[in-house]
Amino acid sequence: MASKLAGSVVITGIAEASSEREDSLETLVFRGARAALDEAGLDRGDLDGVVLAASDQTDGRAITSMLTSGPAGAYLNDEINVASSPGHALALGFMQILSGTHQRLLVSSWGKSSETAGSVQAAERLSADPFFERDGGLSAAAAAAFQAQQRRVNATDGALAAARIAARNHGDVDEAAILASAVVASPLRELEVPPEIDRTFSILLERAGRDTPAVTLSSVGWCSDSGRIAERDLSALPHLQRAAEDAYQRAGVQSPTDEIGSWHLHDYTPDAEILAYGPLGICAAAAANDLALSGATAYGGLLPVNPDGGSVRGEAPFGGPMAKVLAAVRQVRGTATNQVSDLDRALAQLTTGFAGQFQTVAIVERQQ
Amino acid sequence: MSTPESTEPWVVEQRWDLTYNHSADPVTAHFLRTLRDEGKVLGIGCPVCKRVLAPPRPVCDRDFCETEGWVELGSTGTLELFTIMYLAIDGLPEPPYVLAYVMPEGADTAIGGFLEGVDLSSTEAALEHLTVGAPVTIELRDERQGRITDLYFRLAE
Amino acid sequence: MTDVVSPRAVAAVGVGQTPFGPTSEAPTYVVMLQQAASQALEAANLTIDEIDAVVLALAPESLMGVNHAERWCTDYIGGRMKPVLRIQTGGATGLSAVQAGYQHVASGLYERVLVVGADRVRESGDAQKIFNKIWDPFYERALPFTTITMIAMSAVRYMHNYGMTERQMARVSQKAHYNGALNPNAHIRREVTVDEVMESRYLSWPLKLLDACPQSAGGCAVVLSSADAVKPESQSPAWITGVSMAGETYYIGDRLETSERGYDYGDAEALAVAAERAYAMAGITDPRTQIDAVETYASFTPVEIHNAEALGLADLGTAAPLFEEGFFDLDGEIPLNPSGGVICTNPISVTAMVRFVEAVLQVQGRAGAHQVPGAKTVVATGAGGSHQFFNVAIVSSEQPK
Repeated sequence: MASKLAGSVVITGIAEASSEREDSLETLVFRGARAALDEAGLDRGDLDGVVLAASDQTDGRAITSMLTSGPAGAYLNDEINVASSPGHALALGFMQILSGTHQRLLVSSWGKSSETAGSVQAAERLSADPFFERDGGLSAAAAAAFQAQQRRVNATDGALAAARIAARNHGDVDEAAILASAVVASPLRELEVPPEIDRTFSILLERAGRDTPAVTLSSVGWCSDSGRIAERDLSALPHLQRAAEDAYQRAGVQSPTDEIGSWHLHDYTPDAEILAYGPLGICAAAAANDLALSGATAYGGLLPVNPDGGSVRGEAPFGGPMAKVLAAVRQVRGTATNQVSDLDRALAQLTTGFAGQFQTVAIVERQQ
Repeated sequence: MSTPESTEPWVVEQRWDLTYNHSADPVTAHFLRTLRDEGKVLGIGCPVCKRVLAPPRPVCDRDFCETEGWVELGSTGTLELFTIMYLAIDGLPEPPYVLAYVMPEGADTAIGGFLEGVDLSSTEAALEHLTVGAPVTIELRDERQGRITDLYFRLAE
Repeated sequence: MTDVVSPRAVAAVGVGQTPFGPTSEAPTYVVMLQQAASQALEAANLTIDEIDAVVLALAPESLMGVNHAERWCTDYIGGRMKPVLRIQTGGATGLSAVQAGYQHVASGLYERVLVVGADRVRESGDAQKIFNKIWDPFYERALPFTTITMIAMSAVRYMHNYGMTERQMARVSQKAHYNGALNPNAHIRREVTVDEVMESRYLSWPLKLLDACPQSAGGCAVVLSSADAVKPESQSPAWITGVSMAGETYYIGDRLETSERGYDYGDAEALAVAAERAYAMAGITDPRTQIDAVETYASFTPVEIHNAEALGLADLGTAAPLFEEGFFDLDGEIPLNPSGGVICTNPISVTAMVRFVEAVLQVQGRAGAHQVPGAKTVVATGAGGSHQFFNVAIVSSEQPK
């Protein structure tokens, strides 16, 4: 149902930070939060709350928000950790403002790979069903590989399409090099999957009305698939379609390919990106592989996807997908490195969980 | 076909084996290094609220700014909080022992650590000496490892 | 800071609690979730298909042993093909989840939301071992910080400031156990005398075994609905008239100077901050006369004493004698924790939700043997972190204008 307050949530500050040699997790989070507040010309006391998406086992702190909420701006403020996905933190922040309980809040999410190292994947494995799936070796990499395999088996030149998308994202690596890179989890190749990095992201949301440059957060839609990987259709992504429908309807978008100027899709593998085209309405699902092969999704093409290069060069564990929202905001602001011209709206898609079990779609728009 | 009743619960053991390398920020690192190598206890200031924070940290969460201005703290302080611990916990000393927060002279916040040297054979007798506000000395271990436990507390004579 | 806008009215229309008890005797995590959810749906006279979104309350999952268990349990909470998200704010989780559920509906995006959670606190063995890992890795993990020592030190401070005695703490435990024995869902259902509490062994001075909460397993759920979507066949709606949260600094050592309100670490200042905000939303100007009962999150007896003050039910430093006089007893002036509270039941992920659910039962008149007669306005509170996160919700049998 369309909110009668649509158009009233805006983004007035964004920031991301990478870790420097001597960052603790807390100082990394602080630098991002401080920078977002600075960009908006505000201070901690101007916030009504902070919304975090923080993962205890990724951070190595059994209740990470105890230690990270202060650096994220929470002192004497409302604080909540939406620990299921950065997309969900954005969703809750959106609702907090629409509900009237908050006027202004800071959404933050992060991942510090240097601190967690090999344990990121070990921690991910611990999310598998302890009775039926964990002992069988299910991992995030394996799940992504199943998904890629399912897609490619049913497509013509599926591997080539994936390599073409990865090459588009890399920018300076060609398809042949990608196809020649080592297999990490068949059929996925090393140059198709992002290495883990350290990053924090902060987004300042507020109710529209303050005289300051802003981008409208027109909508957020989110939806989950089953937790049983064997029961999911990893290539159909019906839950992404549901999330997208909610996002489009709330934003008043009726013809996505006409109204969305740039697409920031979660490319934890190139196959995951391609599989999102159908559910998002970029093209018919059966035509997605051809679209990937066509080159139309390149920067400068008709349907630019991840013009900033997406995740393939590196993604922070857990919080990494928030990068999609920042990239979308930069496009709408007109400050992106590969700026798409004549753009009013951009779409960000974030996923969390094995083969994208949780999907979030957010639409940002030039403020009217 | 109904589910058979079992007399024993079916248990599946799973282990969590996660290793982390927590990197310390420069402020924390300097404090621990100085404690270990020079036997000094340092605090750091907040340029806005002017509090001296001990143990020191890189950010004042109230004013949301970086801290600056190292202060060498004395070896005396005040007992602000304590408890006599009777529970045995894996990896921690045999109880009973005293966990305390002491505000070093020169600081505006308190440091947590073990308070040693109190006869704990009788709780009642111990509580004659353990009182909030009691003067305390901050002691250093002879062999230090760069951990907060390199320092500990004693009631001042 | 926030202008208090009147959001869309939201009510609880059905609640569920599984019988709380020892972990070894409880069903699996996902089964408890499904049981609690089913109970709440049945009470609300709704099917899972009529639920638009789901909020999962799950505190540190290192306790129940499945990382990001929201992934595993999605199907068991009716989450497949629905918007689902999970909340984690330590002990405050259960009420933070209710707050998030409230915002789902108040925002206008959803009509009916299921808020659900469960826990198996001893799944990984002694919870205190896990709790060592919540503390600062550089300054505090080498020290015996646990939730017990953290509260013990607060009690020591309060005793020093106001002269509270162990016997007064024991009286709080006696009240809690008396009430818990009347509550069919409580984990501990055994009355105790003040003397028994005084004779129980010390955990960490001044806290004794009977001053402390158990480690419980169980599930809890509540269905929240917009006013328009309330069905006549649901349980009578309990309207959320106020909800808020405030967080202290993590550092216990920073909470020693006396604040402007007169609080220090012996007290719960952020609870007072959260209460002020929630009272403002609900139009409560005089808590002592306008509140009929309180379900407050206190995992140890001294916490209940300083919570009563933070909630404005007693002046600073005066609550302990009031407990002795029976002021907060089930048949007292302002019953505190008529359910027996956290001292009788602590399934961490949902403990704060149970406070809310018990508040709902009170205003619905469904609290059975522990009903406070005529309760119309009841406050629920949550607490988590280093006694750091506090939330407050207020329910009323009357729909806000």
